[in-house]
Amino acid sequence: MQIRNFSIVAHIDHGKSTLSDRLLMRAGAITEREFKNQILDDMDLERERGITIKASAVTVLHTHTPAGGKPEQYMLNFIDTPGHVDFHYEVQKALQACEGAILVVDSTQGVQAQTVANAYAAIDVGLEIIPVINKIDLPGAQPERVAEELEQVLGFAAEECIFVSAKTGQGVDELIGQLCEKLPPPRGNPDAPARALIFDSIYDDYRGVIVYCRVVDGQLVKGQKIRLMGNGREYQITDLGKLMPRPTRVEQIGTGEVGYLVAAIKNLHDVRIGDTVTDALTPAAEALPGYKPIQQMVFCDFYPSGKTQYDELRDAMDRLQLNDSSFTFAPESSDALGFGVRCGFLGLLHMEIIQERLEREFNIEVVQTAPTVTYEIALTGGESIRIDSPSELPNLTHVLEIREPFIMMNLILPADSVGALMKLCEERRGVYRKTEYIGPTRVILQYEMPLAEVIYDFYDKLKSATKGYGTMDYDLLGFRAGDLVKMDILVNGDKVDALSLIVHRDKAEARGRKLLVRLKKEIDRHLFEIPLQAAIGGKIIARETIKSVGKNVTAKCYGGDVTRKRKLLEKQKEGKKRMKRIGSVDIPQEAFMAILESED
Amino acid sequence: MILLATIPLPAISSALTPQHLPAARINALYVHIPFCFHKCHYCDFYSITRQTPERMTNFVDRILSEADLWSGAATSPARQADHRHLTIEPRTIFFGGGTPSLLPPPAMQRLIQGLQKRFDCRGCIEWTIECNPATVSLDYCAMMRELGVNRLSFGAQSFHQPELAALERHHDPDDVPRSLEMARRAGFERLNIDLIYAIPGQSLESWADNLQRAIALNTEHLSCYGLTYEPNTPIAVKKRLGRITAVQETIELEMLHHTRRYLSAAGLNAYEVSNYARTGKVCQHNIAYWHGDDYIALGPSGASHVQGHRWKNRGHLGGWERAIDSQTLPVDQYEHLSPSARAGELAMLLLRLEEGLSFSFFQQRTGLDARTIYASQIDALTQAGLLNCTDEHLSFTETGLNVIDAIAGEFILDSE
Ligand SMILES: Nc1nc2c(ncn2[C@@H]2O[C@H](COP(=O)(O)OP(=O)(O)OP(=O)(O)O)[C@@H](O)[C@H]2O)c(=O)[nH]1
Ligand code: SF4
Ligand SMILES: [Mg+2]
Repeated sequence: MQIRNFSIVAHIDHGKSTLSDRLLMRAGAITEREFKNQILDDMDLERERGITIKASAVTVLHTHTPAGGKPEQYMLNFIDTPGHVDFHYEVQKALQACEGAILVVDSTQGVQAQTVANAYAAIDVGLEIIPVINKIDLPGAQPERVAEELEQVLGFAAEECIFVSAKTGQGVDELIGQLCEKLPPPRGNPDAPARALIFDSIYDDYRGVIVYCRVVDGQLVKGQKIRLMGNGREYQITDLGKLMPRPTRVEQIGTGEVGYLVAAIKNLHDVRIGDTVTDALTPAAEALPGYKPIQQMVFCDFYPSGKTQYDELRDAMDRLQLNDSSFTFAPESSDALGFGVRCGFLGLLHMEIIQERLEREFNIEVVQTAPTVTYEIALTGGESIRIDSPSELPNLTHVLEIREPFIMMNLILPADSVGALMKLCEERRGVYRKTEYIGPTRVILQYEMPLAEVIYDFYDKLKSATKGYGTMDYDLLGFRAGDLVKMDILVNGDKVDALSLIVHRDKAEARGRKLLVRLKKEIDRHLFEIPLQAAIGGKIIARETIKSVGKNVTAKCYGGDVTRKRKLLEKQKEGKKRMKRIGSVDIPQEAFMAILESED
Repeated sequence: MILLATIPLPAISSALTPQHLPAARINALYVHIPFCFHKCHYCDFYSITRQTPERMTNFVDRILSEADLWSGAATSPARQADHRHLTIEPRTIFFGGGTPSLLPPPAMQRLIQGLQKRFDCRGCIEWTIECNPATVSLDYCAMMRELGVNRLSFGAQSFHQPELAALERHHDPDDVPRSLEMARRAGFERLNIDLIYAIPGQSLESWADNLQRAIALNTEHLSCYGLTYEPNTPIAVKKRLGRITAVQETIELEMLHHTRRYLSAAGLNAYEVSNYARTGKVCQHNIAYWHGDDYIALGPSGASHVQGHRWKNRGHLGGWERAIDSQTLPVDQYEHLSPSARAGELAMLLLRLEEGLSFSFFQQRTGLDARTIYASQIDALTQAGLLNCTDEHLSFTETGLNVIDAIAGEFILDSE
């Protein structure tokens, strides 16, 4: 039997998941009805948002007859990947488990930022790429033009592109034929000691950790004693299976194949994504290269709120991390908010999704502070340190300079929106690199940008300036010194650590003013006037005042019914329970996100 | 069905008997008389309006039975034994309602004499009866004076007919001076008028005029209440429907401050948020409430307090009647306050007084030092100019008065 391993990559919404489902259907693995239900996007959140968040690996069997040849059985292992920039890491992981990739491009949208980014990622790891132009059933489809764009931007021969409709199935047979004929078989050595790359894991209350892996050399068999090379721990395989796409038991997973193993692994932390599984009796000498460490881009704190306790939050984060190794978290405490965790994410969508998964899958409520980037602080002693929270900034007398992450940003835009985007990038301290035309009406615009200027609302601004047609992608360039300052927010004279932020000096005042206006809206009137101030060093750069309560006196006859009076006052107080009291001011949770939305 | 009937229901009302309470000498007695001539539209006190003379007569019997439960005169030997340690020796008695003056004179006489028979009233220095200005007569006043009542309180509310109409209050403004006149003739030396301000449509001038007329009547005491829109009262519903408009908050505050200035100039000094009196004429019964003293209430919906035990009588005449008829205390809501809840409550009450919270009094009542347990509140609120703090007292400032509920709220301690 022949084996083919490939990923399906594309810009967001270009039809990867639909195409995956179509492949499953062609191979007889799912029914027409299941096809309609987007079977691979099985997380509630994925279905609701209509996006793929996690890559999923499936296996189907297919009989292919090459022109003039004999029919032959193929095992197709493939991975549907997410399209959103925040989940680029998932794509990279998937690509490492494959020999080939299908690059999908929407024939009504053309080449987009993630098309380019994902194509390069596949080329980087030396994969064979099959370009596919999708949605040709749509009235606005221009497959030939898109094929030309692909040729121009990425260098694929236009005539090699396969035109398909994942929705109707048109062109899919040709695609499957090419997958079988063009993609190389896996290269591993079946006779070498077993080595399997762990690319995913989930926790099951009954079976412990379920480990998803790709067998590179040798094989895994039921009952085998295995060792995790990272920590040397050993287990016995109790169960092996493949997702076809339903979990299906198998006796062994051979060289080049993908599947899952169960081995009574009770501790979540023993399994690390990127680690190598080997045979315990005849272990491999060297582990597989694993994955590049991930670079978290945005950081924020989660503090338990409502009924949630700190311990529950920690446990939930632990479990989530087993399933998504791309975020980090560590204990944190704040004067204002108590005990919580500091988290690092790949991007804002990632952050939002983790928060939402905490809520849905674990019933955890959190107050989230505004996201920030990592800063590199050059200290006077010559050393430098990285901080991911403004409150960690050392005393300025020790600071030589503050450096912030810069990214290379690629924007693909309709030509008529270039002016608007250039203006936006300049406002956000961008440094122009180049403009490139893709065909007559579309442009690639390249800027070097401070990451901090992009994480807030750049994406929304891009979408509105381009009527939704603009797309973006970025790579981290490194840290650069800037005229950055820490802005503190004082509420009633008390510095609120969770509200501090690092900003560019030129923008501090405007930013501070907007932030205070937002805070003023979020904080209720108190018994006394509450001054709100934004300060740099000791210097106040913006201020607002929340007026005090006007009237709160009941001049009523209560007689001896004191309980009633007390209960009324208690009820008044009740409303404040869900707030954080700082000094003598009750600050509602929303206020901590005010920084985020301070841009109009 | 039969099965259900055999399962004993948890007896909430009989959970409390006098012997459950700590030893105490109770000096304040309240009697709630739940009958009104007509239901005023802002009122959320418990009263009914379709009472027959017969029900009122029976009511007096039951109040006296309730008094028996406390005095130890109840026939049940089980009850008799145990509450010698809880004695009621009223210094102050207050008949409120409802409209106590609606009780027919013979019934009222029986009630007063009945209580005098059950409790030792020789030390009673203040016996107040609330009256409707439209329902008293000279004979009635004279009778009450003779029986030992020495203070009458008249619900005047307003001297302006349209304002009375807005409250759905059925009496003629001229009834008030006439009633007061009769009370004086009957020998009453302590008279009070209740007024309400911030009535829909009322202007500051109109309120000032009301005050002027009240002062002209030369009473020893004035209560000025701000109209409160209690949930589910007709007036609150009308407000919600937009049929009436509440007086603006700033104007209401001006009315309050005008009242304070104006009455003090006339020799009636504020001693609590809504109460004003000539020197030596404050209502001692109210003071007992606000100092956290012990008091026992008789009658439906009456609220009692003994050493941190608080309870309310059943709020329905029928339920109350049934409890009395079965010789049990008609208790409905009972709670035993934790020491911290008690302290918070006391602070809440004292801070509403003009004199404020006396640290030594507070210490003596609760064993706690208010300056310590409320250090942060005192600090923040004095700094904000809302409270004055001297060595002896903590009291509201003129601006503090505007937000006294919120201030008091800060002093209520969370009970775990
Ligand atoms: N008309 C038409 N619509 C298609 C076709 N393929 C996908 N779609 C639609 O395009 C939308 C996006 O499809 P998905 O398969 O979820 O796209 P994706 O690339 O997996 O999206 P992400 O996982 O979010 O990156 C869905 O509404 C699909 O129904 C096609 O061939 N024709
Ligand atoms: S007279 Fe007093 S108790 Fe009776 S309805 Fe009017 S306000 Fe209420
Ligand atoms: Mg998808």
